[in-house]
This record gives sequence, C-alpha cells and structure tokens, in this order.
Amino acid sequence: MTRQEYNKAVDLYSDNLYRFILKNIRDVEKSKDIVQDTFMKLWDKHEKVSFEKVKSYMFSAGYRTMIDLIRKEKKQSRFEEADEQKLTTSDQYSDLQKVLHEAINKLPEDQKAVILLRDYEGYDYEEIGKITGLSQSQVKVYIYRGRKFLQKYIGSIEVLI
Amino acid sequence: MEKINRHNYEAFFLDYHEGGLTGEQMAEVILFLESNEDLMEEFYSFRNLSLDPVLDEESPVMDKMALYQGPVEANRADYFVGLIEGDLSIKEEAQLEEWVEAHPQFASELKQFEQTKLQPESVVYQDKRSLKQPGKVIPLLKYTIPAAAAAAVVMIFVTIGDPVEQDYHSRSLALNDMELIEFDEFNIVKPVVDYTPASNNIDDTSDRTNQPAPKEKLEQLGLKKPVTVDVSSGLLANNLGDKPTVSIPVQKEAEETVSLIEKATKYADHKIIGTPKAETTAQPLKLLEKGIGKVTKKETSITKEKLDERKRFSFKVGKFEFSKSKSGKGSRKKKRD
Repeated sequence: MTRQEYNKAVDLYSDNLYRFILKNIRDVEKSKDIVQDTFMKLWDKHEKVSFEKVKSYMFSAGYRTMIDLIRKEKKQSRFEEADEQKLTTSDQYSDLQKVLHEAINKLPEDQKAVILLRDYEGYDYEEIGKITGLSQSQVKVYIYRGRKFLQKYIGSIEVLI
Repeated sequence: MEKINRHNYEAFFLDYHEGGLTGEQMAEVILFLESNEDLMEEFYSFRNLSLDPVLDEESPVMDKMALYQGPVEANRADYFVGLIEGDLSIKEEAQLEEWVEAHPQFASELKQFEQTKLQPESVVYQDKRSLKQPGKVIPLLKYTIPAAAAAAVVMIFVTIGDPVEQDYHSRSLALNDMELIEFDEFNIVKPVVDYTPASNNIDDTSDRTNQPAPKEKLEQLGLKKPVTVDVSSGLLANNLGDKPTVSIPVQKEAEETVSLIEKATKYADHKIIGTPKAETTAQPLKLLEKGIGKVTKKETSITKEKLDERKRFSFKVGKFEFSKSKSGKGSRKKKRD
C-alpha cells in the first residue's frame, strides 16, 4: 500500500473505526487514542498490507487494541459511567434507536462488538470471525444471543410504555 | 429495582424462577450468569425451591430444539433472528411466513426482532490530518550534487579526446538579415562586417539570397561605406571556393579546456580530499573519480581506454553510466580533410 493509499484509507475508514470503538467503550478520548494507535500500526506495516484488505486489518487491529485496553484497565464500569453527552450522536436517534443503543450498551463486550460489526459495517460471520479472532459459529451464537436480548429489551420497554 | 450484582443476585434468582421479573430483568440475569459462571449451580438450586411442576422435574430434559422441523413456538426466536440475518433458505423463509400467518400473536415479536438492527449513525473523526502521512521532502542537494558531477564529467568527455577540426559554413547574409541588426550611427566603433555581394555569398539552395544586394541600401541602413573584416586568420585556403566558409580549429581550445580542468581538479583534490599537491598532477581522471566518489558517496568509475582503433571513455556514478566511443580512423580522416 502506497502512502497515497494509506491517506485514502484515513479518509475512508477512520470514521467507521472511530464509531466502532466509541460505541464499544463509550469514551471519546480513549477511542481517539485507539484510532490513532491503529493507524500508526497500519503505517508501520503499510508495505505489507494491501489496500483491498486495509479495512479488515484496521478493524482487527483496532478491536485487539480495544480488548487489550479493556482487559488492562478492567474498568468497564468507568466506561459505563462515561458522560453520555460526550457521545454527540445521541440527538440523532429516534426513540426506538435510543432504546436500542441503551440496550446494546448492556450487552457483554463480545456480543456488542459482533453486532456493531454486523450492523454498522455489514461484515459477514467469516469476516467478523477474522477481526475478532472468534470462530464463525461463535460469532453466529453471539449475534443470535445479542438479538434475542435486544428484542426482549425492546419488548420490555414497549410493555412499560 | 436495583441492578443485579454479586451482593443481591439471590433475590433475582428467586424472582426469576417465580416469574417475578420483567423481560429486561430476566435478560440481565442471563447476562449476569454469563459473566459469573461460578454462580450457575446456585442459580439452578433456586429452581428447586420453585413449586413450578415443570421446573421441578428432575428427569433429564431432551434438547428438542435440534429435533424440530420447521418453525415452532419453541424455536421461533431462532427463526426470527435467522430471517433478519439472512441465514434462512427460501424454503425456510416460506415456512416461517406461513407459520406467522397461522400464529398472528407472534407477528409483533417478529417486528421487534426486525427493529434490533442498528441504524448506522454518522460519527466523524475530526482530526484526520493527524493520521495522515505527509509526502517526503527530498533534499535537493542529494540529487543536484551527483547530477552536477555527472554533467561535468560528460562535458569533459565531450571536450577531451582527439581534437577534431570542426568545419561549418556560415549562414548566408542577405539584406533582410541585415535589417535585423541595429546600428548606432553615433557610435564611432561600428560593428565590422565583411560584406560581399549576395551573389557570392549565398547558399545554393536559397532562392531568397539570389538577389543582389545594392550597396545603396546598406548605406541607408547606416553603413556609409562598405567595411571589411579580416577573417583570413581562421580561413582555410583550400577547397572552399567562393563561399565564405569559416573554419575554427578546436585543437587549441580543447587543450586549454583540458588544462583548465586539470588545474581545477588538482585544486579541488588538494582542497577537498587533501591529496598532496605532487600526487594531484598524476592521473587526473583517477583523481577526478576519487573526488566525485567522495562527494556523491557512490561507487564512481572513470576510464579512458583504447581498443584496437577505437577510443572509449566511460563514466559511472552509482547506477548512472555513460560511455562514448570514437573511431580513430574517422578522426584521422577528418583531419586529412
């Protein structure tokens, strides 16, 4: 991958990666750090990474960095306490989407990550498996469990309303 | 009700089995168990406290899910997820559609599953510039020094060698050309031009200059009287005929150039490389090769050799290579001419 292609990858995928990380850990500054770190890793290996595979490479590297961070700090509660106002996108949600995003934040990390990769980036099970290091069947199980949880959450809110 | 944690989970476990939790709370209990597997046994122990006859059954329960053919109430959730994930075959989709029509009470549930698809939102990473890699700034000297050295050596090769007498014919002067020259009438020292009537000063192929140029016209242009310049010192009195052909012998010039280059090389070698002055007088090409090699920091080679009757010069700096061959016969023949 040339320098021009690398810079093009910044234009094309930095927003997607940032969104993915931000939705997972809900910490703006840490999400930026992870994106920065991921692109630095990409540049270090840009001669070995083809432009066609750069998106998968970035999500894979970003996901691992994120998991390392979560495991290292073990401060999931801190992420949960992150100021929701910092997530500047919350105003865009419809009521249903607000509920849904509340629900997704209650999912375990693995399930949350695979559903975000599925819905936001449109990856299939195989691609998600490569990014997360899970088997295809594990990915499928996590997605099915996550969907069932989200459906129950939506259902319970509707009952309350 | 507060959230389930390791301090209050017993109440949740009990309520779970008694059916006292909402759907959300039941889901939270399941998620809690996934991350606290050591409490799983305890969770099932609460089941035994229930009076629910179904849960009280101690007989092993067969996993029927894998046995069902087509959608049923027990496996409907898997079918619903399969539908929105695109995992169902056309046949299975048709079966599910048929089943939902037959069981309309689950239509809203299917709709809820469809709503679990997250809509991609627009999140922008603001500081993209910090991620990008700027283009490399190439130091100009890195290339200019080798290029200048190469150009200098090429010039030397062009200049050095057997001095060949270069003959050329001057362009015919015509009146029209004369008009291009600006004369200063008040300048006492006028440009000296050898004027010969055009009939004697023409190129055979030029029709334009076949017309004789009247002297009166020249006088009108400021040349009050024809002037003559002595160019005989450079003119070869041989077969040039009437054409005013000028011959410039380059022998002397070449010798002067070589002498000048040698002096410059010796000076540079002495100043830059620090070679004793005595050594700089010998083998100027070797010294030049050494100097260029030191400046460019690349492998440099300058050779001048004689193969049979051909002389060959070659110059190499790094990957750049230049060579020039010259036939000895050709040179001698030219000399004779």
